[in-house]
Amino acid sequence: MSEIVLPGDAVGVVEEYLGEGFVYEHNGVLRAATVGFVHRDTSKHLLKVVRSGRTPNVPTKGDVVYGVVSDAKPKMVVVDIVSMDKKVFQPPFTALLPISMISTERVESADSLYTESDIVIAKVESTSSPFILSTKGSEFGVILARCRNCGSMLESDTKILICPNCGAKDRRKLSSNYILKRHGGVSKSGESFGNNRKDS
Amino acid sequence: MSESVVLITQDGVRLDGRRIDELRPVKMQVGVLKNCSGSAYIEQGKTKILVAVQGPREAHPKHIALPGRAILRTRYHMAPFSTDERKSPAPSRREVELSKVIREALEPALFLEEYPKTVIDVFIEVLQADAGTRSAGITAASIALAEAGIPMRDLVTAVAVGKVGGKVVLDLNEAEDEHGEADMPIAMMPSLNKITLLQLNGRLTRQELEEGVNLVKKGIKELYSLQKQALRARFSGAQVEV
Repeated sequence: MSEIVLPGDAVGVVEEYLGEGFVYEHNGVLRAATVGFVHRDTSKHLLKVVRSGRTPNVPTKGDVVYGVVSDAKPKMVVVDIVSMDKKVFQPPFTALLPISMISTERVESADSLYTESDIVIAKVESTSSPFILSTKGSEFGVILARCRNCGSMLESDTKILICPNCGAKDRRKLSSNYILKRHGGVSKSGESFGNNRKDS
Repeated sequence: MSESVVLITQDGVRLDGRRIDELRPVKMQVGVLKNCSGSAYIEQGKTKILVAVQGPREAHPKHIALPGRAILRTRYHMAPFSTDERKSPAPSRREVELSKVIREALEPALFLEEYPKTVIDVFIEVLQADAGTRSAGITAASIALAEAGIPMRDLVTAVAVGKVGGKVVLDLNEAEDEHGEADMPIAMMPSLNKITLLQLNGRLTRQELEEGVNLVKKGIKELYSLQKQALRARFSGAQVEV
């Protein structure tokens, strides 16, 4: 394995390499911008510093995150990203879920499919704040929701949600991993999510 | 200067036996705390400082967030037991000022534009003060930031020079700081040869200033190599918790 480099270490010169990743150029010298390892591709003249150790706890494009809906409007849903993998964001990162990113099907109104306090699983589509989320795809969407009338946890029955307390029926952009199934079933992902919450 | 205190002999030997160009014994450790993004501990003579870095996190309240870059928020704080007389734990005027100058010394080294609308917190806790706390704080903060994975142009290393008994000396201790004629802390990005902080308390001639800067460069070179050693030790698997 190549030697560890530290911020400021000279790793190459611009005449020889094109820097990628955590590399910056200063007066013709390529320097490392983080603690990491150098990878040199001499055939393509590419030089890359790959970060080793800790990565800042910030969502990036392509990450799958858990969030709580803090506001739902007709054209857009505001989601607080609370965790990703085993990382917890404290305070949460604010993200937007535009109506066009909710589903592959036509959506008349975002607030008909999401409401405040819904717990969602979504994919990050932008690299910096405000993070844009997408729930397109069967695995993304609401994984736990409360009844709009009485506040009880809703149970999923195929494509609709039913309140076990008041019997109200509701619709959401449901994830295939919705936690509470009708007749007391709990999805595998639901158990996993519950464990994640205990960890936090 | 007090006449009764002999801070340096004619041979150039200081009160604690050091020569004029000698640093106090320095010890650095990286990754000493588990609940933060990055941390470091430094002992420079009798000065002991613990630094913790948190973030990048979403900036709160939201109106402080900057659209194009992260905010660096630095808190320099002296523990009530860090001085011979109890220090009030409330932030003093001096601590607020030092928090600002330390932030300005660290900012040029960081690629803050990588994390817009976020905040990076640096907490510098002085556990025991024996002069040189701002420079030791900067030295430790930069390695804690590197451990946190924040992209940086270079590490920042700082040390003070001063004038004691008419001679320019490196890395003042408490007695030299109190009874000396001048104190000049300097922070640098050593690989880029750039100064990020220079303060001067007292008076120096032009020649003494140049002599001081040269002494600082020598001291910073030694501290920079210790910073690198500490980071290498952390990332080669050795981790110490206090």
